[in-house]
Amino acid sequence: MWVASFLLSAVMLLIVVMPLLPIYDPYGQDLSYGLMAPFEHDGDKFSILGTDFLGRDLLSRLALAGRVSLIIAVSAVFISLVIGVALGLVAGFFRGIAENLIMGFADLQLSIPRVLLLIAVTAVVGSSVLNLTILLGVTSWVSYGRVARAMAMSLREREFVLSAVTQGASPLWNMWKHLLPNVLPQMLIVGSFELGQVITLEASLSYLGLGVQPPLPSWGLMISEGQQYLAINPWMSIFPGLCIFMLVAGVQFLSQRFTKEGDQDLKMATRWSKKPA
Amino acid sequence: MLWFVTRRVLQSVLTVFGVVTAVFFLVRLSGDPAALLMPVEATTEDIARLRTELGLDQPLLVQYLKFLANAAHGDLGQSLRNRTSALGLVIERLPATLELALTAFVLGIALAFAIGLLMRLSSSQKLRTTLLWAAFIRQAIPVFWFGLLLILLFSVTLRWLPSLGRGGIANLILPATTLATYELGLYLRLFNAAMAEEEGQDYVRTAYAKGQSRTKIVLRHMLPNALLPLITIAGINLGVLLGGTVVTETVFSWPGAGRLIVQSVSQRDYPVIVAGVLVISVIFVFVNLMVDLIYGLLDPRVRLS
Repeated sequence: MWVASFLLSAVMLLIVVMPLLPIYDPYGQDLSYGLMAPFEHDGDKFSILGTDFLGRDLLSRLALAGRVSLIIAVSAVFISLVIGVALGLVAGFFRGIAENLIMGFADLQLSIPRVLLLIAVTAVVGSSVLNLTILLGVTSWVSYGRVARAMAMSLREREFVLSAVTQGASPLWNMWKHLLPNVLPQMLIVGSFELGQVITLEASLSYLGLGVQPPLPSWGLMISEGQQYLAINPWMSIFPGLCIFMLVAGVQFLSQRFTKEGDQDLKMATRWSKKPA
Repeated sequence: MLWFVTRRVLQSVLTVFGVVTAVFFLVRLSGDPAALLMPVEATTEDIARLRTELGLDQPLLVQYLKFLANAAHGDLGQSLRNRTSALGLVIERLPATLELALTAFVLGIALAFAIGLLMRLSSSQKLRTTLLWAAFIRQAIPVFWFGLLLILLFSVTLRWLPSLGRGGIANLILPATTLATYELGLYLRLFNAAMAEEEGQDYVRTAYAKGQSRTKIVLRHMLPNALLPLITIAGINLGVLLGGTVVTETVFSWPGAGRLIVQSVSQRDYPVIVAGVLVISVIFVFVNLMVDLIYGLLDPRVRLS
């Protein structure tokens, strides 16, 4: 557990505390101080982590990029959680046609590799932070949907739900009052598992040039910007990658911890969530 | 068995049909393709002429049926950039992608197999923990950054291997390794879990009681049983691997279908994107079908579910 705490606090320190300190402007270009190495003094200019090809301070950009990446990832997870829970509960509670349709759609979505699906849609709608967030959210609901459906299927047979049904409770009321509170803790665990994946996906898309667009920084984008200068100043690519790694590893540790405490069904659901049934 | 095969084949055909439909409506509903296809300085008349030419002035249903009929004949339109068949362009790049994906697939299984066996056979608990930790850490590293680190180490610093392009074996080593380790962490953890489960079985205890050596028990008795889940997961993940090629090909400038798709996005070459996504999805569906059929052949329970 302390590993996760250490990794996550290091990232939080960078994203939350760093911008409060007097660091350089993340957009401030100065070509005469381009590609400085970490801790390099160049006349009166000193940069802790060095500068990129336009002389922008890497530390400042990493901090801003982290905010961008985390906001996108957390919002996307929230969107997919809402969609997944709604569809999963409907499928598991009503069964029948609704279930076949929803689960068929899930299988269809899983039959296109996720990166490819995102690329295809981005190509059509164009890439912006908002589009990227919505797309990541809309395309990752399946894990939540599957777990929520499985849980709803067993919950609908329980006495408290059945008694509510016999008293004339509407399906909507039942789902909201009785099913949702019971599936929510599990959904948050699935969410913690998905968060790491969404962060990596966002970084991959931005690396491909299809995600966050310059001049706004994102860790994935910074890695691709640095790739051309790998032989001169590899730090441009190393630092952002390290940030992604620390965040994803920290989140993964946390979610593993949660999963261990959650039940067996859930463990199976998250482990197999990648593959079509 | 016949019923199982028929059902799975029909399911796959339906999926491919669904993908084609989804791609068609995605592209059509997102805006006027004619306006996207023409240069910025084109007049309204030019665009209108192109609309008629492409049949975009017809009802959506007619367009959809035409698209289906053309797709069935292998005609997915022409590349906007070099006016050749979009499908032809993708297929031309396919061998490079398959070469990379299959090498990575085999390498990944071989690595998981070797490391997993090492973990089981060695008596050192420390080694086991270290390897599992390494697997966990690898899972948290984005594939493109891992590739970049390999380039930095083996191409820039040591100058042992070329960092980009396709050619001999030397060019293949870095991209294949990058992609092979993509799912290695997952394989390793699964393989380890499967082996640990076999460890507690009665037949293993019997083998010990007979006085068989540890090495022989692991290799002869436990391994065949633990291998099945590993191969299944690897097969299913071949699709994930196909997605991974898109990123890996870009890192190493590997001239495959994935890189073609990414380049086509920045050039707004829609027919090529559509063709690329369709081709890779069809391969993906086909691989899943094969894995399921093989698994159904090996394990009767799957056929009946």
